[in-house]
Amino acid sequence: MDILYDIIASLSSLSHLELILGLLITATVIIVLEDWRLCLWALLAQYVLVSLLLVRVMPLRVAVVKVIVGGMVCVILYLTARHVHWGKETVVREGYYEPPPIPALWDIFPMNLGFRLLVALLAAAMSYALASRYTVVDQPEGIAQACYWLVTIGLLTVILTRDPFKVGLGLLTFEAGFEVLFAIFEKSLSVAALLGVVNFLIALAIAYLTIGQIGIFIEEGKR
Amino acid sequence: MTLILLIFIPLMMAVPVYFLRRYRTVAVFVSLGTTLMLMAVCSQAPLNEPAHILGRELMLDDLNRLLLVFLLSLASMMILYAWQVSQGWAFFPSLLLILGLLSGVTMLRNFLIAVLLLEMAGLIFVFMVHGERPVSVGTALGYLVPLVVAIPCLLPVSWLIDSYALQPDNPLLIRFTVIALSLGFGILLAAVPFHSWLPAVAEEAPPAASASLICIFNLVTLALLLGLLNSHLWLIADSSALSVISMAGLLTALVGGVLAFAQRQPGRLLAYAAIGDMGFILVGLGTGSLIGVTGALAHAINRSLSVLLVAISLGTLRTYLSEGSVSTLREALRRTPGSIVGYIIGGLALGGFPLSNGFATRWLIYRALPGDNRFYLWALLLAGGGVVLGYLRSLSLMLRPSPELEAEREPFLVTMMTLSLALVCLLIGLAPQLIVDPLLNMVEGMAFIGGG
Repeated sequence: MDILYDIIASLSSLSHLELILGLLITATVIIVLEDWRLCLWALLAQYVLVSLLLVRVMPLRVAVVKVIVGGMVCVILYLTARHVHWGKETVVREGYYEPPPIPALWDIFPMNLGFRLLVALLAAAMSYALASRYTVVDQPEGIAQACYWLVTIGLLTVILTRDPFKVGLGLLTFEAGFEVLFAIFEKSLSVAALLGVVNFLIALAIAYLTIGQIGIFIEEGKR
Repeated sequence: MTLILLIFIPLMMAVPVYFLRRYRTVAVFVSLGTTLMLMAVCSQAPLNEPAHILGRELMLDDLNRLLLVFLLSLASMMILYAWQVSQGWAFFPSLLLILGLLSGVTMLRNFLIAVLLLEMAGLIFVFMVHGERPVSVGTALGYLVPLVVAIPCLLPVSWLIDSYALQPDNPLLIRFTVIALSLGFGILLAAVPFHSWLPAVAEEAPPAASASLICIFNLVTLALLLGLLNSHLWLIADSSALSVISMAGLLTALVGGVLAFAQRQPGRLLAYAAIGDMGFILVGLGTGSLIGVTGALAHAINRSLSVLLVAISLGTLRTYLSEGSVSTLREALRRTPGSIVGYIIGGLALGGFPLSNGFATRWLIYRALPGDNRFYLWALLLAGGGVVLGYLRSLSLMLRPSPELEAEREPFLVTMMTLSLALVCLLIGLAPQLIVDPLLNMVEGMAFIGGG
C-alpha cells in the first residue's frame, strides 16, 4: 500500500498538460480501437491518470482508493474478456457461431476506424471549447478539460457500439469523467468508496452481459 | 441499531441465498424468512429516532415505515411467485441486495449517499433483468445506460442545494437544480421523453424482475423526490419545480395512454400503462396540495399493486398458455383462471376503470386539479381510456382461436396469489379510505403542502 502511495505521490508532479495528453490518448484508444486488450490497458492507464489529476483537489488516500478501484475493475473485465477468448474467437472455434458478413463501407452508417477517429477529434475540439468557455467552479487547470473530454468520449463510445464490453468501457469512461468533476464538490473517503462500489458493480454487470451475449451466440449457432 | 439491521440483514442474507440458488425451495424459504423478519423489524422500529452509519443520519418516519412494509410485502409475493414460475437464478439474491440498499435509500437523510445507494440497487437490477433465458443483452444494456447517465445528474444536486444556502439570490443555481432534478428523476421514473428503456425491459425481462423495477425501484425513487421537496422548501417556493413536475406528469400520462392503446405486445402494454400511471402520480405531486399529494401517494401504492398483478398474470399466461394455445375463453379460464382474472382486473385498474383501485385514487388527483383546468382533466381521462382499451384489445388477441389444446394448468399457489391481489385491488376500489386515510394523516405533516 505504501508503495502505491509513493508511486502516486511521485507521479503527481506531472503537469496538467501531460496528464490531459495522456487522457486524450487513452480515451481515443477506447473509442477508436476494437482490440479489447489494448482498450483494457487504456482503461487502466486512464484510471491512473485521473487519480493523478485528482491528487490536486483531494487527499492522496482518496486518489489511491480510485486507483485501487480502477485496478479491480480492470481485473474483472480482463477475466471476463479472457473467459470469452477476447470476443468471438471461442465461439467461432467451437463452430457454433458464424460471424456476420463484414458490412460494406456504404452501409447505413459506416462506423469504421476513420469515422471513429474523426468523432474523437470532434469530441476533443468540443471538449476544449466547452472547457475554455464554461468552467463549473474555481478549480485547478486541466480538471474541466478532463471532465468534458471523458464524459463526451464515454457517451460517444456507448452510442457507437452495441457490444456490451465496449459499452461498458464507454460507461466507465463516462463515470470517470463525472468523478473528476464531482471530486471538486465532494472529497470524503466514504463517497469515494461508494463511487468505487458503483464502478465495481458496473464492471460486474458488463461482465455478466458480455458472457450472456456469447451464450446467445452459442444458442443461435446450435440452432 | 434496528434501522441499521434493516439495511444489513438482507445484504448479508443475499450471500447464503446466492449459494443456495440451485436449491430453489430452500432459497425461497430463506428469502421469504428474511423479508418477513424485516417486516417485523420494520414495524417494531422506533419512529423519528436517528441512528448513524458512517457518520450519516438514518431515520424512519411513519410514511417511510409504511413504504418499507409495503415494499417488503410486495417482495414476499414476488418471491412466492418466483418459487412457482422460475425467474432466473439471480432473482432471489438480487432482490435481497436491492431491498437492503433501498431500505438505506428510504431512511438516509443525506441525499448524496441515498442517490449512490439507489444507483447500486439499480445496477443490481441488471442481473435480474437479463434473467437466465437466452434473450438479447440489448434490453439490459438499454436499461443500464440510462441508469448510469441519470445518477450523475442527481449527484451534484446536494452541492447545488448547499450553494443555494450561501447564494439564495443566484437564479442560475435554482435553474441548474431544477434541470438536474428533472433529468435525473425523469430518467429513473421513466417519465416522457426519457421512458424508452421501460417498454423493452417489461417485454423481455422476467415478469417478476420488471414488476420489481416498476413497483419497488420506482416507488423508492418517488419517495426520494418527495423527501427532497419536503426538506428543501425553496425548491417549491423559489423555483418552477412543481410546474415542471406537473407538466412532465401530464405529458407522461398522455403519451403513456396513447402508446398503450397502440400496443400489441402485452409486456410493452404493461410498461406504457405503468408510464401513464406515473404521469398521474406526477400530476398529483405537482399540485402541491394535500389532496393531490395524498392522491399521488395512494395512486403510487395502487399502481404497484396493479402492475404486480398484471405482471404475474402475464408471466403465468406466457408460461402456461403459449400464445394461441387456447381456443376459447372458457378453456383459458379452466387452465389459468387466476391469471386471466388478474390480467383483466389489473389492466382495468391500471387504466383507472370505475370500481377499480386505480379509479379511486385517480379521482383524488382529478379533484386536486385547479377548478378551471379542464385541459388537464380531459387529457388525463383520455390517457386512462387508452390504457383500458389497450388491455381489452390485448386480451382478445391473447385468446384468439387456435387448434392447439396442450397447455398445462397454472399452479394453485399462483391462482390464489393472483385472485387475492385482484381482490385487494377491487377492495381498495370500493373502500379507498383504507389507504387514503392513513396517508392523509402522514401527508398533513409535510412541510411543503400548500393546502387544498
